[in-house]
Amino acid sequence: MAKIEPEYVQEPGQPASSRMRMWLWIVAGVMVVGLAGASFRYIQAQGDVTDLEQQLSDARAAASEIATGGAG
Amino acid sequence: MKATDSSEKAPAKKAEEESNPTGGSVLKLVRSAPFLPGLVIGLALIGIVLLTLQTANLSTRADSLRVDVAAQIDANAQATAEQERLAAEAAAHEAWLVGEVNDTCATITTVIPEDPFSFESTVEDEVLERMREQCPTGYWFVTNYVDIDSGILNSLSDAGCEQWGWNSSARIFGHVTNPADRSIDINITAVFFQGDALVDTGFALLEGVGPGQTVEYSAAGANTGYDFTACAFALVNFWPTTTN
Repeated sequence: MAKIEPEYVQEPGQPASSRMRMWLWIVAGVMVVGLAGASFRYIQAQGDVTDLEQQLSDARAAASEIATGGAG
Repeated sequence: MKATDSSEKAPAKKAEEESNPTGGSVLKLVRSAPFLPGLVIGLALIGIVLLTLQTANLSTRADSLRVDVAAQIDANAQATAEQERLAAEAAAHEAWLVGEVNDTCATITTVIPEDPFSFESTVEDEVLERMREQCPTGYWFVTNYVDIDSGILNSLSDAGCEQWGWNSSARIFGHVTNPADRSIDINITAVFFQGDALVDTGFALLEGVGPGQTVEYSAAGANTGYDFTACAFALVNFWPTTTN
């Protein structure tokens, strides 16, 4: 009689079933997508700050130029 | 029958994994590491929290910068407008001065009273009358006094300059009777020459001198140790728009 060897045997005490593990992977995927979104927002905010710092620097340079009579 | 199917499937899968060793090993890792999805979820959660906090900080900084930029741009606009206003005022003023001096008042160049002590009456009686006639909106005259250290007024040369000893001073003063409804601005300059070389200058702008006030200005000459020529002159401007 041929011995039957199952493809996958769940050991006793093993916590996650195959279905459970699939759901965990789905949640992990969603979290990774969320992480990508948070990264995008962070990069965008950093770009905004850099841009505004440059604008402030330009405005201050213009003010010093006005004060020394370079404009007007 | 089932056993036959299963035993037929296993070698097929084995062959597939052998043909794709990387995919196979990843699959094996995913299968053999039940903690992996939890780890991914945890790390992603930490990353999201940290990034959210940092983004909030950056947003606060960006808001503050927006306020600063707006305030600076506003201040720049105000400063530019003020500068343009001053430049326009100065240009108008300069044009008026040049026009008055060159056109109507240029004939009054030097006032030399015969007696320096009667300068007051001279100015009141003669010069101002002439100025009022010739320059109804603005009067200019040039006069000169030279005073040595003793404080005694001395006679004047026709050129408005006099040769004095070293360490002299130049002084100009006058009692001005300007129109009662106007103040005047007086620009007084003293210059000191040694030969043809200008060795020193003194300058004063007396603004808003009221009617009947006495104006006096002294400028000490350069202490050269040699004789030099001191000249003092005053440009008196009756500002048409200035009121008491």
